[in-house]
Amino acid sequence: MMQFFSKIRAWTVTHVKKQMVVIAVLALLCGAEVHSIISDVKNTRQEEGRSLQHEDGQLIDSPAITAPEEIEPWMTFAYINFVFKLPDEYLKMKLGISLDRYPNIQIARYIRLTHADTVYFLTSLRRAVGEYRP
Amino acid sequence: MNFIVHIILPYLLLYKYWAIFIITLIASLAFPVPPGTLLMASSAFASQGYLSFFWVVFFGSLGNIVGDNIGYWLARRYGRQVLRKIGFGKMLDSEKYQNIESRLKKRPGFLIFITRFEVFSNLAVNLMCGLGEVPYRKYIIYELIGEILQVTLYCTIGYFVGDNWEAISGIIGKSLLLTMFVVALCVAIFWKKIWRAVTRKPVA
Repeated sequence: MMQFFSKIRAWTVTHVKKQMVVIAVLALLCGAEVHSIISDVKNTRQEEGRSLQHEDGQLIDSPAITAPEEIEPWMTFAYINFVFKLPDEYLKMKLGISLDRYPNIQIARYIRLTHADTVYFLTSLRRAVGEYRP
Repeated sequence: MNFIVHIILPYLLLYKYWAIFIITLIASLAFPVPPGTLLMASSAFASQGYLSFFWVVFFGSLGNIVGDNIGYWLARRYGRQVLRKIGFGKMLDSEKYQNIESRLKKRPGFLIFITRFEVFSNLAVNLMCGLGEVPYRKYIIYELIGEILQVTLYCTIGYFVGDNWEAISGIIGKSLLLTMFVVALCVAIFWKKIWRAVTRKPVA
């Protein structure tokens, strides 16, 4: 086995220039990137199609609508209040938030400071946002 | 979501335009922060009305311009001393390097402009222009035009794709990577011709 590999290596060194190896590797990388880009574009188009459809299959106008389910821990309370047009005091009252920094605090940081359970708090937050009626 | 973007987005929401300015400034000094992605994210927030599109473009451009100028002036002031200290004195004194510098000094415009669209080549060209003492007036004109266009391009894409900014940002990042591979491939194929052309003594 070792003799076989050393024969291959000796043949490669004499017959294959380094430049050809570099060109072959770069060409492969280009091909892989093109394939990756095409897959991403296809996936994005499918996602756009899904986001444009309501549950009952009817098309809705804008893909920019944000639903409570899309709330993530990296967001801030101020941002959520702005997007869902909530009064500042609503979430404070509904979730019992007493930190002075509210609403200018990240949700993940609030969870860490209050030692709350992440999943439970996020679920409560999303429910509170969904239940709001002006 | 990209790990770095995950960390930076909350600061974007909290500190808004200051965060855009500082992040783009740091990114233009080639720290591993994705400025294009963040500009698109900022513009996606602008499309919701949380930020102003105009101020996102303004502070994004300002951060990039200040960062570029820091790179240029540091290289111009200290570049040669540092390179000599770390053992690149011979390279600096070589005829081939001086030919490259003369070419860059004569016609820096296209190179400065085109490299505004990619982070690492952006910094490399800033340093080369500083080292080569490209006239500041020439440098700043092309740098300003390139940066404002680059920032406006990313912000416009982010503004119109809204919710899909993450996916689009990924596609743009991969496209830039593909462009770099294609350029590297061309250089690998034609490296002899390119090297001769670049290191040839420029016509006076």
